[in-house]
Amino acid sequence: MIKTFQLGKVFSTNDSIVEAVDDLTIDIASGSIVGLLGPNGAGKTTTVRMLSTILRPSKGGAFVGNFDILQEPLKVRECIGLLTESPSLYGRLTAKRNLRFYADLYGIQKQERDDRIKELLRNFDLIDVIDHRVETFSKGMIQKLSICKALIHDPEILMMDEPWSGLSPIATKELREMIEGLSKDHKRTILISTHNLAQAERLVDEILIISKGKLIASGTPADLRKKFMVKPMISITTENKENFNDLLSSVEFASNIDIKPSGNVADITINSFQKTPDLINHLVNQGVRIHGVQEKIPSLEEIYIKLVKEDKNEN
Amino acid sequence: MRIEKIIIIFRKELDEVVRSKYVLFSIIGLPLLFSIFIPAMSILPLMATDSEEFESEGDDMGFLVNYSFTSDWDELTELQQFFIVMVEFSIFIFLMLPMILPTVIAADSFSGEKDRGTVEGMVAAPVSDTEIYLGKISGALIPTTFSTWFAAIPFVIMVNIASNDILGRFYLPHLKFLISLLLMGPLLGLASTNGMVWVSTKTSSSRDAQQLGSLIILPLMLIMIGMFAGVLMISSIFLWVGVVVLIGIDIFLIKIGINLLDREKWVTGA
Repeated sequence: MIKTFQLGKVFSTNDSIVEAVDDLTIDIASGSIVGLLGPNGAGKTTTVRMLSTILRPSKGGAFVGNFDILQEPLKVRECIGLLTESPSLYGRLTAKRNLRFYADLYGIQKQERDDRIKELLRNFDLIDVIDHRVETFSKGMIQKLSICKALIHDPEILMMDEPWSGLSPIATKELREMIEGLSKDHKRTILISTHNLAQAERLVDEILIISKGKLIASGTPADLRKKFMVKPMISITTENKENFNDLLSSVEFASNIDIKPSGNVADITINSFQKTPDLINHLVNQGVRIHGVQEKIPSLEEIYIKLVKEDKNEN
Repeated sequence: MRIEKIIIIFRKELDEVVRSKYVLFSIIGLPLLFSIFIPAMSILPLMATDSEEFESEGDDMGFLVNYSFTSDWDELTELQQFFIVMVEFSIFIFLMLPMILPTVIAADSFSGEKDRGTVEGMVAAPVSDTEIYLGKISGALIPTTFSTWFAAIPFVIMVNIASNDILGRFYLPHLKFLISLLLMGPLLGLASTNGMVWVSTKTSSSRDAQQLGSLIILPLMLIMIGMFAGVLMISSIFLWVGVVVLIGIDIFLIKIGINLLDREKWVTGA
């Protein structure tokens, strides 16, 4: 469980005062996977750092795993696994030595520690390089080892900052499945701060979108689609290309006609999906042979871009 | 404060040290080089010098009367007195080395974590500021103290080979040497490490820290110059007083250091 109350962080330098996070109130249920999305500088990393007790909030507070981040920081640290944006691994040390160091800091017993290290390295295909120095690893291997580090003490809550950075498509899929497994099978709470909207969309139960330190939208991906969908959109595929654009343009309730380069596929915005049969009838009456009609649901990326742009314009 | 957490951090620091050729050379090679080079150049050649020839050469050795390192000082020949003065001044390297060497590691230990982006992982682990601080200080101080002690072995052997020939007896180790090596050196090392850590947390890179940290050894250099000028004599009493004062200074510096360790600044650099 993660709960924040008007959480805020102000950074002040000699020249300026920057409000990195402002009045952030969120509630993440145990066992859920939540995506924290936002453009660069939105306050994602600062939020994760405050929740992991690395930074002290300037205002407000938070509970992580039932512990107050201000009153019980050591207990918070014990119950979270943190994957940081820059890998917190020591290049001169081997993969095993790095994991042993963190396992020891978390107080894991020797036998359990050694078994856990082998299990994690095996799961992430790093067992063959267990005794190799980390400085010889590729970016993807380092990212996988960082994830092993975050999981070494089997944390109740996992916070991941850009977990897919540097991973191959196969490793990306494996990580996604692993995160799903941790949530479903082990009831772990997972907070993912990312730019990878495609992965977030496939994985998360809930999305939090922040911009300029403020929460601008939250909900399940389906909720956000419903809430922020502009107008219904359909995609029509026809057999013939002739006069397709002209025929569509003549329809009163159709707008934003986007003919694809193939010439026989068009994306059209309509007033409502109830108008779809009228549009099809109109085209058929004009002699168009229709191959397919599909309702288009906006992707998370489209919603995200729309929201962030709107927020930017408002400010 | 949990000792086991301090030991875990210390062992990690030590592992990093032994895996870096540059650092390893600095902390093992340099002390050995000094401890062998200095007696080889300044003390061993005295074995080939004839005592009467030494006195009749005409060099003004009047300054030797200023020193009285042994109870039978006045009964010694000028060569013997000169030999002892050379040995006593050479012992100074065992105060200087433990002061300089740990700063090499300490600079890398704090600023280096910032440079390499490893700091976040450590501060997000369940360890307190005190445990991190003491673990890192030990990681810089303990290996360099042992390397200095190790380097003292060939020094003592070489000095005693020469003293057996010149004085007819082994000169080292004597009480002042043991106080310097076993107490004063590590305490000075602890003070300089604390100073370096303070510098290290305030600078943006380990390079800056090393450059600024070199200023820390300046006070010791002043003592050395004072010694050569005959102004200051390092007697046993001076050393004991120094030990007591340094213990106080070290405790004060550790407390200040822990309070000044700002996780936020360390992570963000702001």
